[in-house]
Order: sequence, then structure tokens, then C-alpha cells
Amino acid sequence: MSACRDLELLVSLGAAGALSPEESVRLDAHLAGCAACRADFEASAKALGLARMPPPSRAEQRLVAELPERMIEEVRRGDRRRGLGRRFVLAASIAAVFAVALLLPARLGVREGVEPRAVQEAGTGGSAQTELATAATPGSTSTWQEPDIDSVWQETDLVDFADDTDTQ
Amino acid sequence: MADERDRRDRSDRPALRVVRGGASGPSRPHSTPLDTMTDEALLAAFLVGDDDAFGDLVQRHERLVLSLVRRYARTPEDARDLAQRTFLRAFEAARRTLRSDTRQPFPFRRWIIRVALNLAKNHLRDELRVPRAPLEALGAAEATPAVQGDALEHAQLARRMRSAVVELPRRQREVLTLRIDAELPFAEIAQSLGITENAAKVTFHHATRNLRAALSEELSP
Repeated sequence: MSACRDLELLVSLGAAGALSPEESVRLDAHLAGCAACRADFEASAKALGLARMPPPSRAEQRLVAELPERMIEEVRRGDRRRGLGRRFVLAASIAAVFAVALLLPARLGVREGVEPRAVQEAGTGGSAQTELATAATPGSTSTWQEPDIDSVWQETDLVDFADDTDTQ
Repeated sequence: MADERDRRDRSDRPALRVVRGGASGPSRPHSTPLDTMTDEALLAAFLVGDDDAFGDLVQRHERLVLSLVRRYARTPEDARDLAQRTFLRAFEAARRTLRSDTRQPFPFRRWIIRVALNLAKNHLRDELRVPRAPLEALGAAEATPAVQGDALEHAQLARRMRSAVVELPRRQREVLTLRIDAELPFAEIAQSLGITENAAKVTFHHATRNLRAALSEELSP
């Protein structure tokens, strides 16, 4: 865009007011004799001027003035929350350790072959209900007795099939 | 330049109110003025309970942060929230650094610039995903009273130009806003973005050219 390509960068920086005193002197000397670069400089300065944000409004200034106090409150609140969190984690850890300490021996006992109480009761002549429970319990096959096939047959023989065929 | 202006502004502000429950015993000697303390020293003082130290740290950089985020905010509250998030993230990073090694220096100012630019970028992405009201200058109704004629035309042109800034490629937008909004020297812009000073200047030049191209008709004499 600029007439003098080697000065394009200088023109843009000059439009932003970002030149050293020596560079400013050099640019001013050039602009005085180059209308194209002068127009280029003015267009860049206008574009940057339009791109700048307007100064902070009164509402912004008011809100920003609250910032330090809000920040301190926020940080302190976070610290308190973190403190509570740490205490909760500590309490949960202690509870977990206690739970493990209570449950671990019981589980270890089962693995070592200690029979559940129901099995022991069945072995010593418990009720029929207990026997059923025992039969369903894995590992209690030693106490299960095979039923007598004749007595089972007699019980099923009570059904009269003849009546059913007559009705059909 | 921006620092000097910040210091001048701070002298006009009322003193900070100390938040209850915050100060449990200042580690900072009472004779040390907050203005002369480094960012690291202020953060260290705050971590042991000196709320004034953190308040001063926020005041020291609030203008810089606000100038970087307000372009992307829809409302003053939006801008304040972005600024607050910037400080909180930079503070958390600084706290982690201080806890891991108190002797390790950290560039807090550079961090908040990086955080502010990243938050602004994310905010812009979210805004584009969920379009809302057209981009208006913050508090435009209050900052710029009712305008007519040439002034109205200028205001519309400025609004379009600010939209063009937001649509610039990310690096160009960052360099441009660090220069025209935060008024940082190119050496600091380069340091903040991790590029050379010359690269920052060339990027700024390209950004200026792109802005001019976006409104070429309106800007032609």
C-alpha cells in the first residue's frame, strides 16, 4: 500500500506511536517529502484510532474498584472450602480404615473354611426350613441326603390320571 | 507507561477494607510500603494472611487486565468477572509455585497477561458459539451519549472496526490489543507472547494492514 516498501513497518509503528525518538525523526523527515507515505500514515492512524476501545465507563470503574475486595473474599472462601474438603477426606479415610479392619477378618474366616452358622445348625438337627437353606448353600453337599425313590413315587401317585381322560 | 498511570490512579482510591477472618498475622514488616514490594513479596505476604498485600497486588495490575478483557465483554459485569477469573488463575499458579519453591521467581505480570489473553480467546469462542446481542462497547450508552450526524457515523465506524479487531487472526489480535489497549511496549509484548520483538512489530504491522483492508472504503480519503 505504501509507496516506499522499506518504510511500511515504520509507518505502521509510527501510527501507533511506538517509535524511538531517532526513528520518529527519520519517519517525519520522510513523510515531509512523500505524499503517498503521508496518506498511508494517516490511514493507519485513523484505523488504529477507531480500533481503540473507548475509555472505561463510570459503571466499569465502579465495578473494578470492587475487584480487590471481591478477590480477597473469593480466595479466602476457596481456602475455607479446601480446608473443609481436606477434613472430609481425612474423616472418610479414617472411616474406611475402620471398615476394612472390621470386615477383613470375617472375609478371611470364610476363605479358610469356616462354615456359616446355618450349615452348623442343619448338621445338628435343625428345622426343615433350615435344611432347605442348607441344601441350597454351596459347599454343604456333605449334609444332603438322597431321598428315597419309593416314597417320592407314592406321593406323586395321589394324582388320578384316569379322571382326566374321562372328562376329555 | 501503564504502570505509572496505575500508580497515579491508586493514590486517588480509598484505602482497602480488610476482610474479616483473613488477616491472621502479617509477615510483612509494618515499615515496608506495599508500593515498593515485588509481586512475589506481596503474594507471599497474602498467603500468610495479609489481605492488604493482595489488594495492592490486584490494584497494581487491574487496569492492565481490564484493558485486555473488556474488548471481549458484553457488559461491565462481564468484564469484571473476566478480570477476576484472570487474577484467580494467575494467583493459583503463583501459589503453587511459591509452595513448591519459595526461591523460584515467577513473572506474575506476564502470567496475568497470558491468562487474560487465553480467557479472552475462550470467551470469544463461547460468544461466537452462542450469539447474543451485537458487540457493543462496554457501557456505550453511558460512555458515549446520544450522538448525531458525523459523530453517529464515527461511532458506527468505530463499532465496525472493533468487530474487525475481534475477527483478526489470534496472534495479530493479541499483539494489536496488547499495544493499543494495554499500551505495552513491543519489548514486553514480545516477552509476554514468547516471540521476538521484531516478530511482534511485524505482526502488528500486518494487523494494521488487515484492519485497513476490512474498512478500506470507509477509510479512503
